[in-house]
Amino acid sequence: MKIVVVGIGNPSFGDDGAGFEVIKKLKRKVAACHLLSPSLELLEKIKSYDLAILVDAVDIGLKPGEVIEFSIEKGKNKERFGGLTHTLSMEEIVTTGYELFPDEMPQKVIFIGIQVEGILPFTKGLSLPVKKAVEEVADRIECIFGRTLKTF
Amino acid sequence: MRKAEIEPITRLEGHGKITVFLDDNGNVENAFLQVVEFMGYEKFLQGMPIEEVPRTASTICGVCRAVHFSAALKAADQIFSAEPPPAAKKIRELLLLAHHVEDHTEILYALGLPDFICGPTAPPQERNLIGVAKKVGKELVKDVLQKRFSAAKIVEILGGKPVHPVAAVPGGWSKKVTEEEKAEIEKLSDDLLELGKMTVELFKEVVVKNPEYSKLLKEESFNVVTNYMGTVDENNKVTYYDGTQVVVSPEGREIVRFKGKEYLDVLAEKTLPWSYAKFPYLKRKGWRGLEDGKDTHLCSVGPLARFNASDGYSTPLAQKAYEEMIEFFGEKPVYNIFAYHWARAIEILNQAELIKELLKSPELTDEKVVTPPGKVTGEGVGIIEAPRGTLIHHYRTDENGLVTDANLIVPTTINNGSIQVAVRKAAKYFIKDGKVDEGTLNLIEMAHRPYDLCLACATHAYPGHYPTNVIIYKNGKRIKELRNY
Repeated sequence: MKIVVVGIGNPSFGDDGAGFEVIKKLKRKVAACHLLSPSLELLEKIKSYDLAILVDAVDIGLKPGEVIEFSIEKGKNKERFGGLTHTLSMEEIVTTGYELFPDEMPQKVIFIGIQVEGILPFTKGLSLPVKKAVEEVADRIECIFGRTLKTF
Repeated sequence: MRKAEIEPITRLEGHGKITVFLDDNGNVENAFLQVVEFMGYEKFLQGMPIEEVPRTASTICGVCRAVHFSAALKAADQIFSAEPPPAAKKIRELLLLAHHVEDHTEILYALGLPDFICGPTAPPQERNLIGVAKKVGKELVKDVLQKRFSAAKIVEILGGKPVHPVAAVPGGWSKKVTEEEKAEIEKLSDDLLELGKMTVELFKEVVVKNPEYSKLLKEESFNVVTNYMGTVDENNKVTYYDGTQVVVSPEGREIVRFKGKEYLDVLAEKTLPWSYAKFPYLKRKGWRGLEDGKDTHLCSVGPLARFNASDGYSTPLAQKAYEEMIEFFGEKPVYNIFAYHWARAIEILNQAELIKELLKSPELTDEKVVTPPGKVTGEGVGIIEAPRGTLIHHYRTDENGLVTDANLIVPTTINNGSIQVAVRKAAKYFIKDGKVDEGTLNLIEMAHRPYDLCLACATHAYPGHYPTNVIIYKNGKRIKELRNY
């Protein structure tokens, strides 16, 4: 089974760099790459893999450093479209991928989100809770790799 | 007075908000769009070695990956008195052009054209790339995305790293283009040329030949009459990486030409209390408020501004498309904001043709790609054309090349005044007798979408889209709320 991890986020924006830091920890261990923000590039990064794991900072009112994980299922995200000005949402990109390239898209896309404490433009470094969460998520992904490869 | 607000939930780096003021009859008195300012970057760079700035600048924005990079790099050349060799200049230009193609394609097909292809009042769930695929065919959209990826691949080959270029050095480029790489880029550029041709044709088919949209293109309510700025070559044709900046009046008369630091004599900036963003205007005309018209001091940038400020394009297919567009409007400058999308489509074609021309140059694969640094001058100004308009990076350093001062003027900020006028006109056109519904929200947003605001610059949050809600007040009470999420 071919698995890829994509970390999304800007390391110059405080906790927004969580996805980038996870990728830094996983690089050389697993197939991993980084995007500063969601764009159509994402499709090229995950096409032809069986499983894609997307890691991103989220701000959805959880405790800083709290981690959420769920599958982005095919076609489930269409209601979230619209109102865009300059770029595309991750859901729109993934759903568009399933719609246009159904045979090349991964069988499964897992999203892992890390709740931020703060996003400070042009500030390096993560907050303590997010730093801990980055360790946790990197371990979790290594487990997913181990588990998935064992059961395959 | 009633107040209608179109307010997105704050994204991670800021937000934009449209506020519409209605009179007692429910008609629009005024409207404003608050544009996110480029906050903090200048401070972030303080003390940074100038040679590090271009690579850092490439990470400012997840979308505009090659543009801040290119402008900062040009400034760094000046600071190190290091004029890049011809091969390096060509590599940089190729990279910028390929980036334009990928960016314009995403903006047109995913954000701008869905308004026309799926219909301006279609629900947001249908007004997107998938909706476009349903209307024009899945295979066509797949083809567009594959061809767009060819542009991204060129950026990657030249930039030395996927997504964000790192190969920059002041005075040139850190690696030469090999014959193999050149051959690969040549192959990829065929896709770009096809993409340009099909995009111009698609725009004509879907928008120009549609009587309803064709009417919108000529509707005076969507005219934003300003001065226009762009960058031109020695024949006054549109150029992107290097050239002279030119400003023409609303009548198309040349007002001023400038280079480098002279921008300080051309543009001034006004701060208004209700907006974080500044409002650049033409210094020589003085601040005259947020009004368009023949006497305006406002200046627009971007694809349509380049179209208006130049004598067209240096490549044959794009020039032909330019002449067709002028024929449609019957005159130039073209003021209609939806024509930004048309000019954007023509630019894809122009950029693909320019890439083809650059690839013909034997200098492209020269061994010499860097000029060693000379005396530190302490100051540099890099100006390029970004997809959304003229971008200015101005740096000062100490004698060791450490940044002491940075000033960035980004296209969305230059367009700030024009955007206010466009939003106000659209609000006046679409809101009558207090009637505001789901469709109104999009119709007003359509007025700022041609400018391709950089609201999403640099960062994002899951779910990453741009939730927007309209809140309508009557006599201080909230009477209605609309949302797209």
